[in-house]
Amino acid sequence: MKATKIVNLVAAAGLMASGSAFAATQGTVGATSQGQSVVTVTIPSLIRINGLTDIALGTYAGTGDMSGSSPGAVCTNGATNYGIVATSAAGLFELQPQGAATTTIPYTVTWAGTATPAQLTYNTNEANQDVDATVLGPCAGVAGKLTVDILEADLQAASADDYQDTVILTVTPE
Amino acid sequence: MALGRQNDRKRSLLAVLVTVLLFPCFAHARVDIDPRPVTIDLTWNGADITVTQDFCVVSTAGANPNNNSVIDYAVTITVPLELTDGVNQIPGNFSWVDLTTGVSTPLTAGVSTGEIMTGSTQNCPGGNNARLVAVFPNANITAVPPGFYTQTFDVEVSNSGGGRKRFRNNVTMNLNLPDSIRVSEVDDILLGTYSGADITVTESLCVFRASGGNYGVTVTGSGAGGAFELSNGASVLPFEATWNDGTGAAALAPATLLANRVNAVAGTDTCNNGALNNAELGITLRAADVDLFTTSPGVHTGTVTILVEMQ
Repeated sequence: MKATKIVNLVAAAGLMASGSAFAATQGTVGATSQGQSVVTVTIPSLIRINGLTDIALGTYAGTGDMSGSSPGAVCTNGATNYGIVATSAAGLFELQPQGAATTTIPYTVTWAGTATPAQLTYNTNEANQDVDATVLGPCAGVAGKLTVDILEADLQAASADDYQDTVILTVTPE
Repeated sequence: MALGRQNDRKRSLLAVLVTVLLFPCFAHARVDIDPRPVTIDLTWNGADITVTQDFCVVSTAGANPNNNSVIDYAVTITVPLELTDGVNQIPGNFSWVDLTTGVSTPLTAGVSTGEIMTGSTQNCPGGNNARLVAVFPNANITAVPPGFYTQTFDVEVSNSGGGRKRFRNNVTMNLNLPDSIRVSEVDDILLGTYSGADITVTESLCVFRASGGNYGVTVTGSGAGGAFELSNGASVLPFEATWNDGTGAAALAPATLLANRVNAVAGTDTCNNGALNNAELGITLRAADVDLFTTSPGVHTGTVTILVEMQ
């Protein structure tokens, strides 16, 4: 079995604030002269998911469940909480055969965004997750953030082949 | 008979004497202007130069200084209404104010105002009755190189009396015009909305120097110690700045002189209202700095103060 592939996504929610009226000033003629300019930039509310790695579950030994994890981190420029939605390339949480097999292997996705990791329902927002930092960088991954589990029964029911899926994680500041 | 001839001679002499005494009162006039001559040293402070000089202009029907039959007078200046260094000219706008009526009349070189000004009697018992006003626009001053500019204006007052009917007063104006510098055409710099990548914006502006010589520039930010920073009160973002005098962008250190810049514009202190802008201030906000330093979203602002000096 090949590992699932994790794709990083950064979702940005705009936070547009209107600027005040500024006025540059001109210098006057003289021995020296001084002018002034006001510099302005708008920084929207931003979020980053970072530090994810592929999860290589290896070769099934024939008995027992399988589990694998990836580090990860979610960082914002101020927001302290976020929501996370998990989907996959397959359209559901099932590893897909890469060869001639016709079976698929269901798996579950767990996200450790709070002290109590939550199993994510496909394409359903899991709210009130705690950010790992309120600055966007460096946003280094935290071990064990994303976990994928496969049950023994599902593994034993699958035909011999390499299986793979890509989990897509979308985060939104709250 | 001898006594009769003597009496005849006396009557003739008396007639002649009366005639001589009576004739000036009806056939002569008087015109005069004071103070004279006048020399005015001008100072330029980076704006229009306005010069005013009051006069007492005597204009009467009688030549006798004590005559009080006031008549109107005219004013004429024949020399060009400008200051000159012999090569360059600073044109001015001249006018003559009748202080009795309050009416101001523009003057044109070589053209009389006509006898419309209210004269006065000897020593202007009611106070000065005339004012010369000259305005040299700042644009005309910044259009010429530094140097000594001067002109003696031949202010002539005249009336239509038969006696002394014109009087000329020399009014000299001197201006030592120093070399000077100005930064203008400065606009606010809008970096827009951050979208994840570095942002660089350049602002063109004007550096004028009357002599066209080199200059130095010091740019100071609004952060502590003049640091280049933007802030929304909660988070502080550093940025970078450059100065391009037309020879390439050079990095600016906050509150630090960047010397020996070239290509200053002479002849117009606004670079013709920006058409000849000759310098660029560049501002760059790095994405890496936004990542590291933004702790709250929103509008972040800062100011850059641009100081130019002659070198």
